[in-house]
Amino acid sequence: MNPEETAEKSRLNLDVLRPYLATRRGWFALAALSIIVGVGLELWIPQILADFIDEAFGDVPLSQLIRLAAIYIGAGIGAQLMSIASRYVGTAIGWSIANDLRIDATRHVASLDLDYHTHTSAGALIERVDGDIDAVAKMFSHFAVQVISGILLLGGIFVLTFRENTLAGWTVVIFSAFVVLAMYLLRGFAVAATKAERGTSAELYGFIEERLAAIEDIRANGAGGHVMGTFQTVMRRYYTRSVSAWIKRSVIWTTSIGMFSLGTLLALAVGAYLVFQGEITYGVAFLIIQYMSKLEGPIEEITDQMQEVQKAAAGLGRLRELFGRQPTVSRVGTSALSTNPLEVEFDSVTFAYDSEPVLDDVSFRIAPGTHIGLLGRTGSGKSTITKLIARFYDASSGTVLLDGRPISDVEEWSLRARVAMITQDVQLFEGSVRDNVAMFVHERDDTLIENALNEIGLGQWLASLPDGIDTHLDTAGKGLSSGEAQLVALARAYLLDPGLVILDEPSSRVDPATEIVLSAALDRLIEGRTAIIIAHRLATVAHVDEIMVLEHGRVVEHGDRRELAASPDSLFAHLLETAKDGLIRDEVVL
Amino acid sequence: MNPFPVAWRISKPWPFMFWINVFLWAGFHIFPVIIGVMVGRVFDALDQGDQNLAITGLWIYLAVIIGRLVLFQSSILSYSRLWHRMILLVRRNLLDYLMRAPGARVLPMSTGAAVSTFREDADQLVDYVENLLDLFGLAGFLATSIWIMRSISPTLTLWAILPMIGAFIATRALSGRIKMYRERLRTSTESVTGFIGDFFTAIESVKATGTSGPMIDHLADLNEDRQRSALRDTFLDQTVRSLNRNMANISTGLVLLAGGSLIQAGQISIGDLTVFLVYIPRMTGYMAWGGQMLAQHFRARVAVTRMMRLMVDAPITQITDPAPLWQDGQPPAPVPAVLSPERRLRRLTVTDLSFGFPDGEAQGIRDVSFTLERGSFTVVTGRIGSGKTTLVRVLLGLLPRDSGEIRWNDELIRDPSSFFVPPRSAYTPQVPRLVSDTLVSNITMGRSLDESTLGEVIDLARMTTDLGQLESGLDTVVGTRGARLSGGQIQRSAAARMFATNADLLVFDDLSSALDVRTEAELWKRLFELRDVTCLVVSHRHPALQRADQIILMKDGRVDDTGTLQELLGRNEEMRALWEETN
Repeated sequence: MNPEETAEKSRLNLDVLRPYLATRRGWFALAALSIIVGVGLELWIPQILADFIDEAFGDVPLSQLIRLAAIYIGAGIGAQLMSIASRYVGTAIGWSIANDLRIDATRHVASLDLDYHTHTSAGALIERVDGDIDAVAKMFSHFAVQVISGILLLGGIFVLTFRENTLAGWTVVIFSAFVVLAMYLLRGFAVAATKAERGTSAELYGFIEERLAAIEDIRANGAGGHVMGTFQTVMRRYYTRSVSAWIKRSVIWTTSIGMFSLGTLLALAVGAYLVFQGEITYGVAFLIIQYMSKLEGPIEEITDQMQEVQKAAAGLGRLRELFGRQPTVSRVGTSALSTNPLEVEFDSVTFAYDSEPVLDDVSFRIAPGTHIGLLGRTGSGKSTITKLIARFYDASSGTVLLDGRPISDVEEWSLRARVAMITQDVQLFEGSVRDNVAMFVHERDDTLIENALNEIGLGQWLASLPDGIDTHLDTAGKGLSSGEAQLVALARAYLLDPGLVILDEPSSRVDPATEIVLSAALDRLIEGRTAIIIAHRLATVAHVDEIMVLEHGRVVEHGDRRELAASPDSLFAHLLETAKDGLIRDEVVL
Repeated sequence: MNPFPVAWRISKPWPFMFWINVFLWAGFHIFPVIIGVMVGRVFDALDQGDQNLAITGLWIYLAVIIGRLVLFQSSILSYSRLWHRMILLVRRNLLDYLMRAPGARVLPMSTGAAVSTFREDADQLVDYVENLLDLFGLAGFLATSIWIMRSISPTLTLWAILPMIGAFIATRALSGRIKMYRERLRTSTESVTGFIGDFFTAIESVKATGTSGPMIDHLADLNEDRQRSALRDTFLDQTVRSLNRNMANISTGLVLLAGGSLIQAGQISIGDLTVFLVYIPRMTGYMAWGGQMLAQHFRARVAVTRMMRLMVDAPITQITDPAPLWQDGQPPAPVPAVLSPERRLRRLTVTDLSFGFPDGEAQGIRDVSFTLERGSFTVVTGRIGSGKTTLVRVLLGLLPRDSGEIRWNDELIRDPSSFFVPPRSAYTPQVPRLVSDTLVSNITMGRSLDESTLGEVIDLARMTTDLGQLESGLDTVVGTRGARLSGGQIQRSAAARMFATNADLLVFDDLSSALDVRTEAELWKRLFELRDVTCLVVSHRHPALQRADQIILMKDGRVDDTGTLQELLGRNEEMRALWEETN
C-alpha cells in the first residue's frame, strides 16, 4: 500500500469520529488549558537552568544561585501537576467518546440483517465493538494529549532558540522539519499489516470462543486433540501476520530513535562550534541541547503510541466498514398497528436467499385471533414466513400485510410491541429476573412482570427466589433448566401483550411433565391473540384452528384443522394417519 | 498469586532467544551512559579551548548512536518472535487444559469473560515478562551511571538519588490501592464484554422483541461504570508516574542547590555538572519505569489469579509448561484408537453415584446405582428436574461426582472425564454445539474416515436428505456455532459425529428434536443390527421405552425404579403417569 493511499484512508477514518468530537468542546478547552500552561512551564525550566550555569561559572553571590535553584524546583512541580491534569482529561475524553462509539456501533450492528450475525461470531463482534474501540479510546487518552503538547513544545522551542542564535534556530527548525517529513512518510507504512494482524487476532479469539462454548461436546467425544491440532493452524497464521506487523512498525521506531539521537549530537556540535566562535555562552549551548532533547521525550512517546494509533487507524477503518454496512430492510413505516388481534396476509410473496428461492409465490390470509399451525420439513420455508412477518427480511416480490396494511408501512416500535416472536433457542442474560423478563426495559411495572411470570406458570419458582424479581441470575442464566428458560421466553412475550404471537418449535427437548406446563403456558399466552406456531409435533397443533402445510417454499395445504383432519385426501389427515400407524400418536417431526 | 515464578518459567522453552534479548536490550539501555560522559568531555573541552578533544568526543558520541540503533533493530527482529511465542504458549496452554486435562470441566464464568482472560490476562502476563527482560538493562544503566556520578561527587550523587528513592517508596505505599482499582476495572470490563457477547448471541430474540434499545441502555450503564473505574485507575496511575517523573526536577534542583557552593569553590567543572544534568532525567525516567514495572507486577498477579480461576484445578505450571505451538505442515490427524477385545465393554457398573450443584442451581443426583450389560439398550427417563441430564454428565465426568464408584468391566474408573471418550464412549448432549467449520469436519472431528464408513454414519444419523438441501453438502461451512443449520440438523450432525467415533458405549441426551419417532425407532434397530454397541439414552419417548432392556426411572435426583417397561408399568405409579402423559 503506498503512502498516498494510506494517508487518504487515515483522513477518511477521522470522519467516523467527527460527530463525537463536536459535542465535547468544554472538555477539549480544559485539556487545552492544562496543556498550554504545562508546555509553558516546560519551556521555561531549561531557561532557568541555562541562567544558573552561566551565573554559577560567572561571579554571582551564592544566594542568587539558591534562588534560581528554588524557582527551578517550583516550576518543575507545576509542570507535573499540569501533566497529570492533561492526561486525566484526555483519558476522560477518550473513554466518553469510546463509550458513545461503542453504543452506536452496537446499535448499528444490532440493526444489521440477521444474515450478518449468522456469518459473524459473537467473539469477532466483541473484538469489533470492544477491542477496536478501545484502541480509539487510547488514541485520545495517550496519543492526542501527547501529540498536541508535542506540537506546542516544538513551536515554543523554535521561537526561543531563534531568540538565542540564528544558526542554532535554523538547526532546530530544519532538523524538526526533517523529522516531521520522515514521520509523515512513514505514517501509513504499517497500517495494512496492522489491519491484517487484528484480523487474525479476531480469528484467534473467535476460535477460542466457539471451542469454549462447545467444551462438553469436545471433551466427551475426545476431540480435544483435534481442536488443539486445528488451533496450531490458527496460531501459525496469527504468529506470521502479527510478527510481520511488529517488524513493519519497528522500522518507524528505529527511524525515530536514530533521528533524535542524531539531533542531540547535532545540537551539541552546533553549540560547541558557537561557543568556540564566542557567539554564545555555555549555558546557552546547554539550553540548545536541552531543547533539542526536549523534542525526544514527547516524540519518543508518540512513536510508542504509534502502534496504538495504527491500531486505532486500522480499527477505525474496520468501524467505517461496519458503519458503512446497511441493513437491507428499511425502517420508514409510519402507521401503528391496532390493539386488536392482528390479521396476517401474504399476497404472492416470493423470497430468495442468496439467489436461492425459499418462498415461491405464497399467498394466504390468517384472520385475527386465529391460531394456526405451520407444518413442513426443514427448508420448506416455515421459518422464512415468520422471519418475513418479524421483518428480519423483506420479500423479494409480493406483499406481506399485517393488520391490513403492508408491513413496510408499519412503524418499527409498533411492530415490535404488537408481534411477539419466541425463538427456538432462549438466551438469558447476566442480570436480574426483571431484566431477563422485561429485556432491560425499565419502565415495566413490577406487578406486570410478576403477573406475567405467574400467568405463565413460573409463580412457584418466583416465590422460591430470595429477592423475587430482583434476584440476580448468574452468567447467562446458568441456574435455569431449558424448560424454565422457555417459560421465561413465554413470560417475555406475555409481558408485551402482543396482537400476534409467533412461536418456533415449542417444547422441543423437554420431558412430558414440562411439556404439559409449557403447553398450558402457551395456551394462556395465545388466548385472544393471533398465533402462528411452527410445530414439530402433531400434539402441539392438536388445538389450533387452522393448519398450513408447506413444501419446497409453497403452501400445499391450508384449511380448518377439523375439516382437514376429516377429509381423507388431505396431507394433514395423512400425517395423522401415519402417526397413528406408528407406535404413538403424539409426535411427528416434520 | 505471585506472577514472578510464572513469568520466569515462560521463557524456558526458548532460553537462547530469551538471553539474547536480555543481552541486546541491556546494551541498548546501557549505551547512553557513554553519551553522558561524552557530553561532559565536550563541555570540559570548551572550557579548556581544546577543539581536538571536543571533536573526538563528538565522534565517539556518533559511534555510540549507530551501535545503539543496530542493537535496537536486531532486538526487535528477535523479540517480536519471542513475544508472540510466549503469548501463544500461554493461550495454547489455557485452551489445552480446558479441552484435554483430566477431571470434570465446567467454565466457571461466561464464555465472553473466559475469552477476555485469553485475551487481556495473557497480554498482561507477557507484558510483565517483557518488563523483567528489560530489568537487566534498567539495573545496568542505573548502576553504571551512579558509579560515574559517585566518582565526580558522592554528595551530589546522594542529593540526586534521594528523591528518586523517596518516590519509589511512595509508589510502593500506593500499591494496594493500585491493585484494588485495577481489579475493579477488570471486573467492570468483564461485565461489558460478557454482556456484548450475550447480546450478539441472542440477537434474533433481541430483534424480535425490538428491545435492542433498552438493552443497549443497559450496556451504556455498564460502560459508565467501566469508565468510572478506568478514570480512577488512570488518575492514580498518572499520579504515581508523575511522582516518579517529577523527581527529575526535584533531583536537578537539589543538585543545583547543593552544587552552587562546590562550583564556586572550583570542585565541580562545567563538564562534571553536565554529566549530572544529562543523567538525572534519564535516571528518573528509568525509576518511573521501575514504578510501572511494579504496577505491572500487580496487574500480572491479577491476570495469573484469573487464569487459575478459569482452569479451576490446574497446577500453576500449566500456564507455562513447554509445548509445541505448531509443527510445519498440517497438524497430524489423530490415529483412530481401537479397543483390544478384552478391554471392550462387558459390563458398566455404577454404584451410589452422587453429585450436588454447589449452589443448588439445578437438580443433583443421590446414590444412583445401575448396571449396563454389553449390547443392551438402557433408557433414563423421568420428569424435568429429576436429574436425568445430570446423571449422564456426572457419569461421563463432565461434572465432578461427590461420591460413588464407576466400574468398566471390573476396572475402577478414577477419572471418568478422561476415560469416557472414544473409542470407549461418545456423547451427544441435549443442546449440541458445532463450530464454524465444514459439516464434515464437525462430524469427523479430525478422525480419518473412509468414504463408506462416512456414508454409513450419515445414513445412520438420517442426514442424507439434509445433505441434499445444503449448498455444498458435506463441505458446507456451518456458520458460527452451526447457526446456518436448523436445530434438527445440528442434532443429527451431532448424532453422526457420535457414530463416527465407533465407540462401544453411546450416550444420547434426547434425540427428540432431531428425529421423528418412527425414524428414531428405525435408527435403534439398524444401529444394533450394524454394530455391537451399548446405548444409554435419555428419553421419554414410547418406542425408546418399549425397546429398552432396562429403564432407569429418575425422580428428584434418585433412582425411583429400574426395570423393563412392562415391569415398571405394572408396579410404578410414576411410570404409569409419565406413560399416560405422553400418550
